[in-house]
Amino acid sequence: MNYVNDFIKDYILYYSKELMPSMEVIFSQDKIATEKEAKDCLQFIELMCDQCIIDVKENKTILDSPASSHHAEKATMVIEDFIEDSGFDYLIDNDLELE
Amino acid sequence: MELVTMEDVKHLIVELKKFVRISDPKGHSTLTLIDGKIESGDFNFSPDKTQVNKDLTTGLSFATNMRKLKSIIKSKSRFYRDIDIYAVDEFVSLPSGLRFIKDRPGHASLVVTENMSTKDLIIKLEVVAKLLESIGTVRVKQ
Repeated sequence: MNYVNDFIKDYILYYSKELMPSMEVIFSQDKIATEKEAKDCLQFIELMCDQCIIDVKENKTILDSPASSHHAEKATMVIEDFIEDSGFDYLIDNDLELE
Repeated sequence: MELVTMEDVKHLIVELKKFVRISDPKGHSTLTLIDGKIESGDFNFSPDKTQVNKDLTTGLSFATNMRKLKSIIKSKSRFYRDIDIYAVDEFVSLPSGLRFIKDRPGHASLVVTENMSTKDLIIKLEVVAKLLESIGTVRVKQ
């Protein structure tokens, strides 16, 4: 994956190990190979963000930093960029409904 | 609190070519402190976090097109219902050692171009916050 600082890279790998170990191989690749892998990445984003909400509520420390939604947001952006760069941008749903 | 629409933001980003910053509700526009310490994910810090290293590949995120804007808002809406919107001109005069880089389609980063202390970075980010125009708040339907 590109455009990732060391902390966010470690953050993604931390939650991969915790939540979905099969993602480690996908994240170590230069590109996502199949649509199935891209869908797995999107599923991982949902799991990571849900777990982040729990970790923030429980005041957990992740990689020596207090759990924070900022880290999950940054990680989400990096993974979505990875999906886009691999040619699976059409899978990302950006529909928004505002009040 | 004044709610703004996507049309308001579209005008800024598409017609005025502004860079748009999406921020936590009632949070700081450029400076994220977690337990009193600057957030680790945006810049390249020394291990003890007293210094920030020059790094053109990581920085504060700004949207430069509608697709990326929606993507960032959607990501933030997992955690917040209300999201604050700020805008800045691409060519605004920034403090020394900081620069905008258009690093991806629809995305620009405010990056650090010279090594500096974290204390100096915080002061410079406060200056950048004053350069941002507060546009208002969007409320995402949940």
